[in-house]
Amino acid sequence: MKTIILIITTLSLAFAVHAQSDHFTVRVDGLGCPFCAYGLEKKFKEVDKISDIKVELQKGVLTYQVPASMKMTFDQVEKLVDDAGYTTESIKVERADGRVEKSGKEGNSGSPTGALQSETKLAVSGNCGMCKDRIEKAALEVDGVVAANWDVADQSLQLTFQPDKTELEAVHRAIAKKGHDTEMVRASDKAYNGLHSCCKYERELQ
Amino acid sequence: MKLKAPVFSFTLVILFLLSSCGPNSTESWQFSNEIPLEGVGIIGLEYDAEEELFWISDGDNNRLIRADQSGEVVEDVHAFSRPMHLSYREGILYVAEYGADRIVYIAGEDLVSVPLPQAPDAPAGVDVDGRRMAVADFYNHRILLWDESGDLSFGIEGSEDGDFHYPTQVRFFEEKLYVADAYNHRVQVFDSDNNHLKTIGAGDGMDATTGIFVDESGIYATDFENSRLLIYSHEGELIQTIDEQLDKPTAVIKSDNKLFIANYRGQSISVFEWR
Repeated sequence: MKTIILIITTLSLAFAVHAQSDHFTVRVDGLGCPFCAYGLEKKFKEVDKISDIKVELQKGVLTYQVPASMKMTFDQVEKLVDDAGYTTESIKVERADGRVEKSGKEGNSGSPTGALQSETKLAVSGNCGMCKDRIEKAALEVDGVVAANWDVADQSLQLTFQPDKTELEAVHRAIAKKGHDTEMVRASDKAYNGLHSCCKYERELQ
Repeated sequence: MKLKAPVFSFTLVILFLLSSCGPNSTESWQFSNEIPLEGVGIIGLEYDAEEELFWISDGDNNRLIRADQSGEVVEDVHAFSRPMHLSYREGILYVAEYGADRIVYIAGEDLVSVPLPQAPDAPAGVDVDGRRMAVADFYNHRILLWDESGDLSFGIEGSEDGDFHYPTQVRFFEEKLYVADAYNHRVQVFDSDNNHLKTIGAGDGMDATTGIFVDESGIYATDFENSRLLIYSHEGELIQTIDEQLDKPTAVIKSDNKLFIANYRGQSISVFEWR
């Protein structure tokens, strides 16, 4: 009898903990080999209270849960992914209270029906596929930006945006903050130096 | 000019002998068979010729196993946290335990953690040459190296000669140290004083040089993303490219004139013979 009570108590506690957890699904760019996948897992395991970490190598997806009380933010997730040497493509979190939050391409792409849109092209420096993800993601996170497509050969960003909501200067600043020089804003040396070695494009002297 | 029959025959024999040996040899590594290892996320591979058994680190399943040449797992040796590349020297197996930031060795029944001069962050590969031990320190982009005289670690993150970008395996051969510089997509060679001697394979389109093997015949490098094995002479000349029957290879070893290549995605070992 004691055993049954113990099992029921344990299951109840486990259920309660599960119900009080935020469940994260993170899409990661460049997750190619097991060294990368295990590395990503390792960096998340080093954070106290993160549990149920799973990395699906072929899909480039990381899932895990944390206690809702931690209130883990997208910035914290991106930093962990960045520390592991990779770039976040998108984050989806199912909060313990039932809310679902999304970031990146998963949450910000697509055109709101009927909204007035404009297009423009910005000169943005970069080097590779990782740069492309980073530049587009930075642009898409600015209010009113509907679509962003960076071309490595042309070193330009094709931008679709809602002119009544978007400050173009904010787009330049957001991209430069990630380490990429634009025609209007030069990235700080700190941001540039923080780029992956393969992303370190040749800069024009100031 | 006409040659008499005996002279002509002698000339043909000489020509045949000349064409069948030396640099003009037509021999190369040819696919022989595949050893299935279903359910095994194979990362590291070594071969115990005496016991005729493979040592295999099964990274996906956090364990070290031994298997025979039919692929039968004969022993589930020990649980590890993401074991990666292995080094089997003089009856001792060294394991780079990536998830636990440590190097351990197995000698008989004993499992011993090696005291490290500096803490690695995700050790991916290890090798010893009797008096020295080297570790590929993946996240610190450097090589931990030490001997009885002390700590000789070197390297920083970068792409210049002597820099590293996520090194994954190290191998000693004849006093030199060979490093699989995975995300610089190349192999680097250092002398016994850690001076950079040579960079190999940088222009050959490798994408993630995950594993290497070195012996007197040359340098063997796995090209993970392209599912290839590139074989170089010690001068750095590309001798042969194997791009068949491989599926995301992580490690390669040579024994008894056979090449054994570990396929991570393929969950198998591809066997090639020299003929």
